[in-house]
Parts: sequence; C-alpha cells; structure tokens
Amino acid sequence: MSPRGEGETGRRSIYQIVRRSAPQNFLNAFDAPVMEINCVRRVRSTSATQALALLNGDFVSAQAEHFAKRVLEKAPPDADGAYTAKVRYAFRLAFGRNPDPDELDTSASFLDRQRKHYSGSSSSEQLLRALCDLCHSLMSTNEFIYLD
Amino acid sequence: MNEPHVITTPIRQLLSRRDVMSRLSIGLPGLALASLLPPSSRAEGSAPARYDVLPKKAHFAPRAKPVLLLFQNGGPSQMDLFDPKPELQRRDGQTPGEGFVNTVDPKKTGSWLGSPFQFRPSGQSGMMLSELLPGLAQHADEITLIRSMISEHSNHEQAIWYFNTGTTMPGRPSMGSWITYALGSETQDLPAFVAILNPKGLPVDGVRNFSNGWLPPVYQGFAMRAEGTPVLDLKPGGPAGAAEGRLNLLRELNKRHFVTRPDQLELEARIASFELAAKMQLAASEALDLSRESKQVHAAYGTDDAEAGIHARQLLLARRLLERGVRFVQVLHEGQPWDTHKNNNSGNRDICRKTDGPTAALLTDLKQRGLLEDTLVIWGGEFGRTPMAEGNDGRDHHKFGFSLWLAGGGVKRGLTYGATDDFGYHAAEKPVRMADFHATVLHLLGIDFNRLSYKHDTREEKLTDVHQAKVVSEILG
Repeated sequence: MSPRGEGETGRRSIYQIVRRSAPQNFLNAFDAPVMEINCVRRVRSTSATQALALLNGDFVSAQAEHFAKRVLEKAPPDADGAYTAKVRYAFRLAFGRNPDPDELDTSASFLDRQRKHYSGSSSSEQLLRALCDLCHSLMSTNEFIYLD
Repeated sequence: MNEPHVITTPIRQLLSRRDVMSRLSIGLPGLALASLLPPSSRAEGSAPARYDVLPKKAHFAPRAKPVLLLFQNGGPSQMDLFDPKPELQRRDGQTPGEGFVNTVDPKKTGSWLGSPFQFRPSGQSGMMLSELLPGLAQHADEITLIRSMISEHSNHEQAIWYFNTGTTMPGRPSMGSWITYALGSETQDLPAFVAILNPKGLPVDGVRNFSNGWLPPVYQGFAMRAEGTPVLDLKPGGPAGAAEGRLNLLRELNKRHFVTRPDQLELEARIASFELAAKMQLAASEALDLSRESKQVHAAYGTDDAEAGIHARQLLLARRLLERGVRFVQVLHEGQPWDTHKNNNSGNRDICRKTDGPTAALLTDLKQRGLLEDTLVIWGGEFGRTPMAEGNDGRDHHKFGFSLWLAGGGVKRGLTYGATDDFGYHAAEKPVRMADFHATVLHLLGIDFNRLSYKHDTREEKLTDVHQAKVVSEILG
C-alpha cells in the first residue's frame, strides 16, 4: 500500500520501495517488519501508537477525505436536513452492510453536531468536514479493522 | 455481557477464524466444541476474563515498584568493562587450552585476547571497574554487579528471547509484559509498559523485544522515541471539539460491535488502546516534554552532547515516565552496539562514550529524587564476549559467563557477586542462570515466580518456564 494516499505512487501494492531516509510512520506503527533481514513471521500488536495513528495521522485523514468525497458524489440525495442516504452509503462502503436504525440515528445526529465545529466555513465545506469525520471514525472501528 | 442474547448469537460472530482454528486444533472433539462457546455462555455468572493495567496487589511486600531495564543489545564485553582478568592479560596471544572454544564457530577460536583497559577499585567496596566506565564507577556503592551470568544460546535472537522472555524460543511475553500483567500500573494516563527506542532505529529483533507474546495485547510495550516527536500523531488536527466528537462516535460504534463479541480480547484491547490514546493526548504531552527540565538537568545528562545526547534524552525521558508511575520502562539501543566482532577496543570506547555519562547522571538523578529507593534498575545484555580473539581485534558472542548490574529497590549496594574463571570464560562461582535472574527480579517486585502464571494452550505458562529457578537471595539488600 502507498502510505501517503496521494502523490508519489498513490496506488496499492504489496511491494513497496522502502527508503531509510523516508520512514513510513503509518506502517511502522503497525509493526512493519525490519527490511534488512528476512521476516518469516509477522508479529501481532495492538497499541496506543496505532490508535493515535488512526485518530490523528495524516494518512487516515487523507483517506477519510477521499472516502467522504466519494460519499458526497455517489450517495443518493437526502431530504433537507437529513443525512440518512449518506450515512447508509458510507456504511455500505465501509462494512458492506446497512446501518441498523440506532447506528443510522447516531451517525446522522453526529453529522449534524459535527458540522457546527466548522462554523467558520461555507455550508458545503461544513458538510464535507463533518462527513470526513464520520468516514474517519468508520475506518477506525473494530468492524473495519478486523474480519469476523 | 451475560445477557441471554449472547447465547443466541451465531458462533461465527463470536470467534475469529483464527480462534476457531486454534481451538479446534486442540483437545478432544467434544471438548473442542465446548470451547467454541464463549465463557459467558458456558456457565452462568462466569464473565469473560478482563485484562487491564489497574494497580494489582503483589504476592508479598515489594522492595521495588517500577522497573527500568537498560538493555544492552549485542552482548557487552565482560573482560573490558566489569571483570578484570590478570591471567588473561598474562597469556595474551597464547593458544587457549582444551575446552576453551568459540561456541559460535569452534573453528574461529582465536588466541587469548587481553583487555587494553585499566581497572580501578571504585567506591568504598573497591569494586573493580574499567576505565571505560568512569561514570558508573562513581556509583559503585549503589550497584550489585553480577559477574557470573549464564545464557543458553550464542545467537543474538535466541539469547535476547532468553533474556527478555525466559526461553530461547520466539513468541513468548517479555519481562515488561509479565510484570504489567502481574502488577498493572500506577498510572492510567500513560502506557503501563514503555519501550524507549533510539530515534535512529529499532534494536535487533525489533518490536519483539517488548512483545506481549500470547499474553493479552494490553500488556504490550508502547514504543516511544526520545527525539523530535517521541510519540507520533499525539495531537489531533482541526478544531478540538471535532476530534472529541469523532472519538465519541468511534466509542459508540465499537461498543455496539463488541457487545456481540465479548470473548475477543483483541477487540477489547483495540478499544482500550483508543482510550489510552485519548488520555495520552493530554498526559503524555506533558510527560514527554523534555524542555520542562531545567538547564542543569539537561547539562547533567548531556542531552546536547554530540555523542551521548541520544542516550541522555532516552534516559531523561525514562526518568520522567518512572516518576509518573509507569510500571516498566525498557530503554533500547539501535541495532546492537555492543556486538564488537571487529575493533573490539574502539567499539567499546565508542559505545561507552555514548552511554556511561548519561547512565551515571540518571543514577544520580534517581537518587536525588528519592526514586532509586523503590525503582529497580537493570543494566545488561543477552550474553557476553569471548576472552579469545575473533579475527585480529574482535570478540565473538559468549554465553558461559558474563556480567550484568542491578541498582535500586531491594538490591544490595556495592556488592560484587559471583565470579568467572581466570579468563572470564566460565561462570565459576555462584553461577546465575537467566531463570534465577528472572525469579529474583520478580521477587524484588513482590511476585512469587512460581505463582505468576497465565494459561495458554492448556498450559500454565511462567516467565521462568520449566526451569528450576531460584531467587538469588544473597543479592537482596
């Protein structure tokens, strides 16, 4: 995978050029093996470093923005002031399922509240930011990270 | 978690594929089926095991509370640092007699190689220490120097596993994980177990040096760097309320997801990791900010020193974490600086210049702040080095006898314990095996090494494994 999301290669890959001068912080947080020696078995870890990378890292923020723009572009239109179609579309993209009524409600009211944090911006920018935040949270959930 | 709905939840939702495979691969078929069910549905009232780092009571009164492990990757040379050998000097250049071989490769067994470094009696006890360690020499009266350590393997990784985890097999929990599993931590705002990395890179064997193995992931070491940004992504971007909103939503979604999967430790650990991250955004920023220390403290550690600066910052950060209640701090070098296969003498000079001053400053600082009383400081590597030359001017790995020192909580002061033979080859007096060392460390923390266990794959596992360990009571103060 390309850790930056954009620029450089901007594509997924299981092979990746590793330069010592440019550490891949996101992969390192998730215990990327040392490249100088063979890695015969990956180690497993769950750490707050990873949580911080998921919460605050540039990589996830950039991916969340791509995700949010896709939702804005592709989701069916919502009735005024409602976000159900967007939430539903985001859940389907992230988890391959529809949100249950509670999740739909929680997420829609999240969007409504979250917009207010960006009150200095235009209305469409506010919605984009709030949607970025929703997508960001979805991508950090256990449901997104782990396979059942 | 004991609600009836758990029982009706499809099994595939309760167990990961890996869990199912591992549970199916053990035991009798009938038993295997029983173990497919989460504990909460097996017997009423038996909730799934919960693992946390809240403070726990020790088995008996502890002499030390936190531990600072200064791990010396590569295998420090006992003859050049801690264990003077006049007979080795006298026979310098001669061929060793029978039985003295290089265990890494017998064909590479060289002639006896004396040390060029002078040893001096230090402190009231007159502990003999090398001229390479003038800083440590000032603290000779504070430490117990063990000269009779034994390892079981001559390769780095296996010996590191032995030192960190108790056996020469990979994949087991490290000391810090065992100890935080046993005792939790005094602080809930910082990780219980921190590994302070050299910003230039990981040690040999990487993150396994502070791995939780099969202990629950909440006991894994948390990696920090002692330069630039010690913890990446510590601060959220954007408006503060927005970040909090995202975290709240994440909490809510994760909670709903976990309710139907109460048996999955991994999910729980991931949730806990976000909670810790949230607290750390506040507490860690303060703890990690070395600029809050006075100029005098910086000068004493040598944080601006061209050579010692990195280790100085690692140790200063370590002290700040210990002060704030972190249970286990492990300081690691990049790669393996003590691995002096070539240029043993200059290699030792080099790494000692980088580490001895800061180490001495740390001991002074801990003592002045009253922290040394109940902090156990451990300085040591995975093995020692051959008294015979490797090539012209190197020393190879050596497992039969090497040195390590301890200071602080519950350890005798100014004691030199055990001895190697005339050459520094065999631990000849009072040998200390790794399991004895582990048992002693646990004992100092108030833990009975025989009672500290964790059931993994039907076996009650211990840090000391099946070794007949014994506490080295003579070094207890």
